[in-house]
Amino acid sequence: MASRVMVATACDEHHDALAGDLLASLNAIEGRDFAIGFVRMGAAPVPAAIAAIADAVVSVAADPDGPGPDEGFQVAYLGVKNRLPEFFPDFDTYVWVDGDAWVQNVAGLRQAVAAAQHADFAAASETDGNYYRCLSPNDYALHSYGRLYGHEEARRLTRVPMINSGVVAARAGSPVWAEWSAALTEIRQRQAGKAARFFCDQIPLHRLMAIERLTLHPLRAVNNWLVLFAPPLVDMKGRLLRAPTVPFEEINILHLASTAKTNVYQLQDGSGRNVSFTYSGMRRLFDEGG
Amino acid sequence: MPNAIVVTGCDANHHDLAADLLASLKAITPRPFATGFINIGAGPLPEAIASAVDAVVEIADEAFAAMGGRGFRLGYLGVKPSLPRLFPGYDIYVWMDADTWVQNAAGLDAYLHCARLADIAAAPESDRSYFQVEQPSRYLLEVYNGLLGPEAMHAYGRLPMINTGVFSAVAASPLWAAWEEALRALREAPPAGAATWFSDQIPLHRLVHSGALTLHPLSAVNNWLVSMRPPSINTDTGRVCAPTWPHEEINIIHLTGASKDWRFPVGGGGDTSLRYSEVRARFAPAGEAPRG
Repeated sequence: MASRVMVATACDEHHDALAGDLLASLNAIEGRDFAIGFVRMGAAPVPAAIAAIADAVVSVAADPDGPGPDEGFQVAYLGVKNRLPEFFPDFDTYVWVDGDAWVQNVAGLRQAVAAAQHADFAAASETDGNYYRCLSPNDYALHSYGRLYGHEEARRLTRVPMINSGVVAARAGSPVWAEWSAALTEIRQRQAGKAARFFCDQIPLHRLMAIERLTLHPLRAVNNWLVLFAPPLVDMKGRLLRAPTVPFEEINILHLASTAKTNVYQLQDGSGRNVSFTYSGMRRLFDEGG
Repeated sequence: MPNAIVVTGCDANHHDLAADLLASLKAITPRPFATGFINIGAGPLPEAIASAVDAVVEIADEAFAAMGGRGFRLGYLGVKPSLPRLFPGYDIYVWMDADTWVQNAAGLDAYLHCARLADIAAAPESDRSYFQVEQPSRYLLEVYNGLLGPEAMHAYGRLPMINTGVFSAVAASPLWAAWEEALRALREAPPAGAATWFSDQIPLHRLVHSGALTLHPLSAVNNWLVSMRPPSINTDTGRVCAPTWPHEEINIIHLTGASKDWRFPVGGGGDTSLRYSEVRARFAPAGEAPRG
C-alpha cells in the first residue's frame, strides 16, 4: 500500500483465540505492507501468539463499572475503535478489524484503504443481495437503537440501511475519530449510575452517518462478510470461502459476528461433515482435504 | 447454447425506451437468445421495435384505462407471468422492463445461468451503493398494505424487496403458475376497488419470502436501480459504472421512476441522461458499436 497503514484489533482474554486467528491471517499475507496493532482490554497478559505478530501493542485498563451481561460491548464502553490514531500515532490510514473477523487475502484491506480516501470513513453496509433472507432493519438494530436513543429516534433512523462497524477504515485526519468519540462519551455519561445500561459503537456510528454528520464510502459485502446472514460456500479445490451465489466471488474478509463464532455449518458436499468458519477451523479443513 | 428468449413489453408511452433496450440487445454479438416484444394497448408498433425483435405479441387492453387503473398496467394484466404462454417453445425466459438496457453480455449470461438454480433469478434491491435510501420505503409499505393487507405488510415488509424489472426462469418453473394466480386473484377482486394500486412485484415478493418460491439473488450490477443511486460514468472509457469503490462496470441499467429523464453533469461540460441512445451517442466513438 502506498501510504502508512495500520490494521488494528482488540480483545480481552475471552476472545484471544479468535484474535489470534485474525492476526495469523493478517500475518499470512505475502509481502505484508501494513502494520498490525493490538489493543489489550483488561489486565490479562497478551498471548505469545499475538505478541509475536503484532507490531504494536497497547493496553486499556478494564473499568470495574464497565458493562455487565446484557449491557453490550466492552470495546464500545472503553471507546477503543474510535481512538486508533491516539493508540497508534503516525499512520496515514487506519483499518479496524473486529477480533472475530479474519482475512482471506489482502484485497479487502486495500479496498478499505482506498475507499477511506473518499469519505470520512469506509464500512460495509449490512445490505447485500446475498442477505436477502434477513430483515432490514433487523430486530437487534431496532432494539439497540431504542435502548441508546429512544424509540422515536429508532423509528426515524433505522430504515437507513445499517452499517457494520466490524471493519472500519478512515484517514488519520478524518473527523470520524472525534465525532465517534464524542458520541460514545455522551452515551456513557448519560447512562452513568443507571440500571440496564447498553453500550455499542455501531449504532452511534450509523446515527452519525444517517444524520449526515459524517460521510460514508460503502464497502462491498465481500469486505466484511457477515457469516450469520449468509454462510459462505466452501471451495475445497481452491481452498477458499466464496460468496454463495453467482458469480461465487472470493470473500476477502470473513466476520463471525454473534453466534457465527460458535455455530457449526454442514458442508454442502454430501459428506455430512460439519465445519466452523473460524480461520483455524478452515485451515484444518483444507489441510485434511476432502 | 440455451434455447432462450429475452422479452420486454410496454404501451405507446414507453416505445422510445423499449427501442433503446432492443438496440442495446442487438449490439451484443454473438447473441445466444431470441428477442420478443409485447405491445400493449392500441398504439401502432414502431418500425424501430418491429425490426429489432424475433417475435411480437399484441395485448389490446382497454380494461385498465376503463377502470381508471392505478399503478402498473403490466401488473394488472399479469403480463410477466405469462411469458411461456405468450412465447411458447423456449427453455429459459428472461424478462426486461422497457426502461432497462444492457451495457454488455455479462448480466444476461448471469440470468441465463441462474434461471436453472432456483425458481426465479432476480436482483434484490440491496446493495452497498443504495445505503442512503430508506428501506423499506414508505411506498413499499403503502402498496403492501393496500394490496395484501396489514398482516402481510408486517410479516414481510422488512424483508428486502426483489426487483422484477429483470428476472429469469426456466419454462418448467413453478414461478409462472403461482405468480399468475396471485395476480389473477387481485385483478378479479381488487382489494381497494378502483383505488387499488396494481403491482406484480409485491405479490412476487410475498411468494418468495413466504417460501412458496425459491430465489437465486443476483448482484445489483445486473439490474442497477438508477433512482436508488445514480451510477458514475467513466469518461475515458464511456462505460457506466458503480459509483462506489471499486467502481465495477454495470451490466444492466434500469431507469426506474423519474430517473428516465434525470440529467447528469459530465466532466468537461454539458450533461446527459442515462438513456442508452444518449450515452452511446455521447461516448461511443463514431462508427464503433457498443462492446458486447
